[in-house]
Amino acid sequence: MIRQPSTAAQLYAWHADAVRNGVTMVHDGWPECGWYCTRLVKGGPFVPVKIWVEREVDWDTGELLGPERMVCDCDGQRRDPERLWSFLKPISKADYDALVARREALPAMRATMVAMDLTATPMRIR
Amino acid sequence: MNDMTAPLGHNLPPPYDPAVLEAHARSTMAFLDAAGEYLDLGTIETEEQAGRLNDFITGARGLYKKIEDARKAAKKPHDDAGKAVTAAFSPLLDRLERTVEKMKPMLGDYLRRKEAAERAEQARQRAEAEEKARQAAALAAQAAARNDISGEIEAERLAKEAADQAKAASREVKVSAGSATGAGRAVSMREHRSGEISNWNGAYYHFREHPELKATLQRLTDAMFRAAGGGEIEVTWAKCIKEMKPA
Repeated sequence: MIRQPSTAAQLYAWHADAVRNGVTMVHDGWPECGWYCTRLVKGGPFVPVKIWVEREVDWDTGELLGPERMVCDCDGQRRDPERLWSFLKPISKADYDALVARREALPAMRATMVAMDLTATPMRIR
Repeated sequence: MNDMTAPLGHNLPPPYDPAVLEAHARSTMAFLDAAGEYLDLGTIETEEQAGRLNDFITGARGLYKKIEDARKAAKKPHDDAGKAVTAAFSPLLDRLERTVEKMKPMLGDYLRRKEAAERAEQARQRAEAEEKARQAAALAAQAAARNDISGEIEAERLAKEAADQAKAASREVKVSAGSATGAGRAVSMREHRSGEISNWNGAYYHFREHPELKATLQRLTDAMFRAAGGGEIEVTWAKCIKEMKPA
């Protein structure tokens, strides 16, 4: 069957609406492309999550050579987006980039599987 | 004695673990140092700064709770010891207090009856003095009529006796119960005063400038506005002050 790849506007429509207007409707197990944050443990630091679509496209015809697959990167690891979906909070691309940069600046944020103890070291302005 | 001799009080450690206190003191100083950086910044301009300040405040509150828990843990043995001492001694004190309170009315009843008897005796003495004075006056008149100097002197003596008796009968009655052995103090009746309010509005008006009354009214007013939740309460004597503060 001839299929055209989904456009970016189509793929990221839900995410754009959620960031602009707040999350109004979520279907469990139906992830949407976009940028998100989540915690892996209670009290743990935020981890950046990105969901996008991978597909093979025939560049001569512009048509899909196979199904579009939803993939997810959570804290640098490939995870099943359907299993993570219920725990994700949509954030803007800018916030996603800021979160990635903050994890580089604050080593304590890289311990994602333990609750973060803010009393151990004071959060500094820089 | 030499330089090796320990000073007085060396074997009296503080009633808490100094190592625990020292660790908390270091954490506290780190937070105060970090707070100085935020104050140097002046105002929060970006979402990133606001997020970091929020985490700082959360951490400071958490540290406060940790140190407070450590304080309570250090204090608990002393509190428990104090409670044990109170629990051991209180029953004895309570029994003695109740015993004295039971005994006092008996003594009060006796003193009241004694006072009544003394007042009755005083009244009798007053009546007797008046009769004597009347007789003295009559005798004086008779002696004067018959020029009886001896009679006049006798009438004066009788009048003076009546006056002395009347003076003794008009003294304030004070009764007391003395000590049987001399070791206890004498006990007398003492006046205790309290008020029975018949007009609450009048009482409020009298004390309206009293700081305690003002503090109580302020507390009740604050509670009233807080209890309204999000609703509005309108009263003629106060208005609701709403302030937004970070929680």
